[in-house]
Amino acid sequence: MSQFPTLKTGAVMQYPARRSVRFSTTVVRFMDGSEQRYRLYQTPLHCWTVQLDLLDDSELHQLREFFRSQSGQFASFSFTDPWDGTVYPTCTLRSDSMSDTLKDVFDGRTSLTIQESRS
Amino acid sequence: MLYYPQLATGSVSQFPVGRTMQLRTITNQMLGGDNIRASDTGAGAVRWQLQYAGLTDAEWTSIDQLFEAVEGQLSTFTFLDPTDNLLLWSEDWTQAAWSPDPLITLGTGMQDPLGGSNAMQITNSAQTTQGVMQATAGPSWFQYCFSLSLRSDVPCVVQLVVSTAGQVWTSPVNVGPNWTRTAGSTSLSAIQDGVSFGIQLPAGVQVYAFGAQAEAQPAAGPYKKTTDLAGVYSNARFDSDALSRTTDAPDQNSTVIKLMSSLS
Repeated sequence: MSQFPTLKTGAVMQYPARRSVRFSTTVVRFMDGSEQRYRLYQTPLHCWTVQLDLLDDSELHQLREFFRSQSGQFASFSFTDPWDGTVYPTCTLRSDSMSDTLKDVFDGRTSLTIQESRS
Repeated sequence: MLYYPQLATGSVSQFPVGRTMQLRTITNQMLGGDNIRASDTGAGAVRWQLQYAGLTDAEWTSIDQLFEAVEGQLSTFTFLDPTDNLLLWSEDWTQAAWSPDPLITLGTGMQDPLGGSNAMQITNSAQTTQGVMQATAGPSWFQYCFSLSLRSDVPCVVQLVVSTAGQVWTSPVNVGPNWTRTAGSTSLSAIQDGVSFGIQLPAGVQVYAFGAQAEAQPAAGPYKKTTDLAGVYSNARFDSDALSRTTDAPDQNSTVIKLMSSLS
């Protein structure tokens, strides 16, 4: 199982760092105003937005190679949540597209979104 | 063979360089959050956005001539990605991309300067100079910088080599017991399709090598590890049928060029 790459500093993310949790609920509403709610997900799914600035060529290249080795959102990998250290063993990238800009020497920037997956 | 031109400075692009890799995955999303995914391996593409300012008329003309020769998006040319390493398998010289001479022995899994075990042990057991080379599809006359990290238990001199049909450029490098990143830069005078990079070892010499990198620019950039994809795109195209420029002053032009290439 591959792992999301770390920067030269050893960090995975930079500020601003975003993390979200998603549940999935179906609500059936009845004519008398009452409702029933069903849980669709057994457990919530997490999502992280990794926004990176001031990367050098090699850090940016490492992220590109990771994106390519994962075939975009196809393959799953292990991601350690930097907020609490929890390891999520089956995560995928959210998009099949990765854009980056090398604005100057040591000024590369990109953004990747990681989502927890069940399979 | 058509090639995307280098600027007079010897580099392919200016900052900023935008790059987008687009792949394709078919996903069947289940209600419970599970999903079934299939990768469409033939659909991958990479796009570049190159912004130029201060281009001389001659530099602009070389881009314009290529655009006219390929008729916009119609035909392909070779593009050397300015953000990538031009060599395949930069840390695994046992792959078929590398061509060792007959009496060169390659050992893998050696300690590398980054703390891993991805360096190569290269031994020349012949009675004459032998080498390891990798051929790329780049044009021979471009400005190139070839760099790698070298170490040897016994101090020796090895040659960095850049070659094409009919011309070989070598640069001697002193190799000592500590890892040193060495680089050699050259522009061959021969006009040929294809250029090769590698090292030559004198008879009986053993060195450790790590992180071979070739770039179409005068000096070495930070090391970029490659596997089965490098920065030479032989089927690149312009991503637009229109090409425009702004002339900001005499002999000063600016433009934005969009290129694309399939990954398959």
